[in-house]
Formats: sequence, structure tokens, C-alpha cells
Amino acid sequence: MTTPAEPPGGAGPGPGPTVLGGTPLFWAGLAVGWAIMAVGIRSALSERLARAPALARFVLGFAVVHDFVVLPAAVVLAVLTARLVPAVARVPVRLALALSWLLVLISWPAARRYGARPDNPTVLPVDVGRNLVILLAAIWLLAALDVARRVVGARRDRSPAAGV
Amino acid sequence: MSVLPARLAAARDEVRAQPTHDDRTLALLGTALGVCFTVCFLTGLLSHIIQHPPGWFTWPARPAGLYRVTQGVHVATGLASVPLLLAKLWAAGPRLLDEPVVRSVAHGLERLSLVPLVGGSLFLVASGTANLSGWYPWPFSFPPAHYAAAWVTVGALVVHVAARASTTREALRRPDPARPASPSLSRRGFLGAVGAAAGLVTVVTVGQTVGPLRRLAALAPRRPDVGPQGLPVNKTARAAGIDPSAGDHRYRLEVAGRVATPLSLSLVDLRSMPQHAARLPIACVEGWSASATWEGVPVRDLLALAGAPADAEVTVRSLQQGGSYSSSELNHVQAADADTLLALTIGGEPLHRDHGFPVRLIGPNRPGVQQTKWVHRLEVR
Ligand code: HEM
Repeated sequence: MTTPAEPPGGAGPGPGPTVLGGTPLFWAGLAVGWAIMAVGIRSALSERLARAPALARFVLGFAVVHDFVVLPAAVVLAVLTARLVPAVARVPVRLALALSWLLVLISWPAARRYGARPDNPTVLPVDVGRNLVILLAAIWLLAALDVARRVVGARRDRSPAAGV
Repeated sequence: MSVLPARLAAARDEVRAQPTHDDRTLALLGTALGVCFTVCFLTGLLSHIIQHPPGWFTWPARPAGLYRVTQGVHVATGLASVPLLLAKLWAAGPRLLDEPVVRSVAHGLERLSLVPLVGGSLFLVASGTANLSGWYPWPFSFPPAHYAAAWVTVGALVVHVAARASTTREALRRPDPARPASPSLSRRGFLGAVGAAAGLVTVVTVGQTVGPLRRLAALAPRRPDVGPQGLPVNKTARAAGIDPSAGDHRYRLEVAGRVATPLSLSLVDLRSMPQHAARLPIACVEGWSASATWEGVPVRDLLALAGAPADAEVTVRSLQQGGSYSSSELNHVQAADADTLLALTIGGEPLHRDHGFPVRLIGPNRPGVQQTKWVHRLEVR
């Protein structure tokens, strides 16, 4: 074992892992949690939904795509920003990247007008795509200003006249 | 013994030791996310039982704006939880590579339960967000899928909370350990950014239901003041397949069922009855809402005229053929409320076709999908 990973609710009291593990609280939570999950599964199997396998594929798909695509991609971006972006600019650049990604995610369907209906101009009445571009521009402008502030701050700290 | 290449294991341990990935950060994010998901689950369940009331449940007609608030909170909280969720997944990321992969039966079951937790959470926010702009890129109906996924996700959340309760309590109690200044982000900086992101997401969307903020709703799929007669529309008359001649001299409103005298009333009849005005919101299940002044005939006056019993419940039917929203139910409290109207006008003008001309239902404290348009029949039970 390379890391002292957290035991789940203190899996295995005392030294050395036990085969069963888990505290009474964990087992109680497991029973209650799985019972609640069963309500959802039963509801998915009822005729109200009718497409339970498709839903299961979506839920599983989100977990798999997150763990094997999105998270690795984010790690690659983190490594790239560590290599390519000077240390002084790294934090604002990373925050701006994360915030841009977030805004694109939550506004994507509206920005691409996927739900637009020709007979109903009250759906998506504002140009979300244009607003998104404006917001992204503002975020990167702020990040640039922050980088400038940090660069100036770092220079001043180094200069012998600092504090005069 | 590690199954990971040594360099990867070393990188994992290095990242895991940073304050943005440690127990305290995860505990704080997890707590915030737990609160948000609980709020979403409760407001969502409420919306569900309002639309599918079990026998023991009677949704009141007052306060008139309650559903507008609960569903507005559902959507706003759901959207604000997106940055929290992404931050939590990022902060917990290195632990995906924890070893040994399974340490005990409990540990294995806990990790297994993370699959529905992660997949379900992402599905809920993604399906909710897509639904807001009327986009349905999946082969099932949105509400039952979102509903089933909510139970699965919350169940998995309960397992996760039980497994992490003591670690979380400890991490929150321990004073923040002093750390050498790191060249990357501090915990405070990270959490501050996440909070600011949640605030930004709220500011640019919540104007779809909070009128005074509507000009800031840069990324919201709706504006509460844009639409015919200043109100948004969810389904147009054309989309509902309403004949353009609906509401001409042949129109009749039928009142039938458990009544002493079934009624068949023309528009002229309806207009000659005492009119009652009420200022009520349209509060869409999708989280937008807008208020208007509606005028028309109280449902209870029609019930009295037809000699319906005092505890009458009513099915309100639309001219719209088929579709799950072509009829709605009024429980006995709603049917008896003075402000539950068959509206003929908005702000003094006859209803626009897309708002349900000639006659629509509008009542206090009801989801928009239950404010049936193009009404032609009341069935009394
Ligand atoms: C971005 C996040 C979210 C958005 C935008 C969102 C949006 C919505 C919308 C529009 C509805 C109304 C559906 C309808 O009646 O047609 C709804 C219902 C519901 N939501 Fe969410 N939601 C989000 C997250 C969540 C989360 C995290 C949970 C649970 C933890 C949840 C649980 C529910 C439940 C149980 C319902 C009731 C479904 C039904 O009527 O059968 N939602 N949500």
C-alpha cells in the first residue's frame, strides 16, 4: 500500500484490515441508501418510464465518461498549464479555464439553440451564444488583468526600492 | 504492492497531499453539495407529488406563489450545484487511483456505490439543464427519468455520507493545518473560486424567475417578460394542434359529471357572468415564472351554478388532443378557491391564442403544466 487511504467510516477497527470492514453506521447507511436506490430502480422499471435500459446506459455512461475521459482530460490540461504557463500566471489561467468550461457546459444547449422551436419565439428569446462569448471575453480579460497585477507585484517584491 | 506505475502513484500522492485535494476540502465541498442535493430532492419530490398526488396528499391553493418559489429554488439550486459537483469530482479525482482497489467488503460496496453517485449526479444536472432549454437528447421522457435518477443518486449519496461521516466530521473539526505557501492554489482560493462560480451561474440565470434580475439573465433560456401579452409560452396553439377556429360562435364550455344540472355555456354566456380578477403567476416546472392579472369566471361559481357538491374535485379538459398535459386536476381546495379562474382575459385583453384563447384555467399555487389552456370541459367528481 502506497497511501494511507481513508477507511470507509473506519473500515476495520484496530490495526490491519478485516475482510468485512465498515462501522455499524456504514452498514446502516448502506441498507438505507440501497433501499432508496431500489425505489428509483423500481420507478425506472415501471411503465411511466418504459425505457429503463436506456436510462441505465445514460447514468453509467456519465460515470464512465467522467472517470475515463473528462477527468483525464482535465489532468492533461493541468499538466499542460504547469508546463506552458509561467508560474505567476498559472492560477488565473487555470481558474479562467475552469470557469469557461463551466459556463460552456451549463449554457451549451441554449447557446446552440437545440431546444428552439420556430413556432415559439418565447423559447430562447435572448442570444445566449452571443452572451456566452461576451462572458468568456470578460473572464479572460479579468484573468489577464490579474496576471498583470501579479507580474507587477512580483517585480516590486524583487526590486530593491520595494516598500519605499 | 502497487499495480500502478511508480511515477503515476507518486504523482497521485503528490496531488493528494495538496490542500485543494485533501480531506478538509472534500468535506467542505461535500457538505455544500449535500445541502444542495437535499434541497433539490425535496423540492423535486414536492413537484412530483403535486403532479401525481397520492391519496393522502392535498396540495393547498395558498400561498399563491409557493410553487413558484419551490420550483424556482429547485432549478436555481440545481444550477448552482454544477460548479460544486465539478469541483468535488476534481478534488476527489486522485482517489480514483487509491490502492488497494478494494480493501474489504465494506470498502468494495462503498466504491461500487460511487458509480451511481457520480453517474446519477451528472445525469441529474445534465438532464435538468438540457430540459430548461427544451432539448431532449435521450430516448425517454424527462420527468420519469429525472425522478428515477434522483432516487438512485440520493440513495447512493446516503451510502457515501455514512461511509465518510467520521472522516468528514474530523476534517471539519481539525483546525486548518498551516501549510507552506504553495505556488498553486490555496484551499481558500479554490473554495472561494467555486463559490464565486456558483454565484455567477445563479446571477446569469435566476432572472428567469426573479423579475427584477431579468436583465442579468444572460444565459437563461427564458425571459419572464418576453412573449405575447408580456408572458412566455410553453406550448403554442399550433404545437398543441388547436384548430384556428376554436373560440368562434360554436364554442361551448361543458360542465358535467357529479352535478345537478349539466351546463353548456357559450363565450357570451361566460362573459355575462360576474367576472373576477386575480394577479397570479404562471410558474413553469422548468423554473421560469411570470405574473399577470387574469380575469374570468371563478370555477367555484360554475360549480355552484351546476349544483356540484361542496367537496367537488374537477378534471379540466383542453381542446388539445392527447399529450400528458391536455387535462389537469383541481382538488377540492383548489376548486373552491375564489382565485381559481377560467380566465378570458390577461391584463384586460382577450387571451392570445398561445395563452389558451378562448378560455384557460389559472389557479393559485399550481405548476404551469396544470394551468390547462383551451379549456372546453369541466368534469366534476
Ligand atoms: C441542474 C440541475 C437540475 C435542474 C436544472 C433540474 C430541473 C428540474 C425540472 C425542470 C424539473 C421539473 C420536471 C417536470 O415536472 O416536468 C425537475 C424535477 C425534479 N427534480 Fe430536478 N433538476 C436538477 C437537479 C436535480 C437534483 C440534483 C435532484 C435530486 C437530488 C433532482 C430531483 C428532481 C425530482 C425528484 C423531480 C421531480 C420529477 C417528477 O416530477 O417526476 N433534480 N427538475
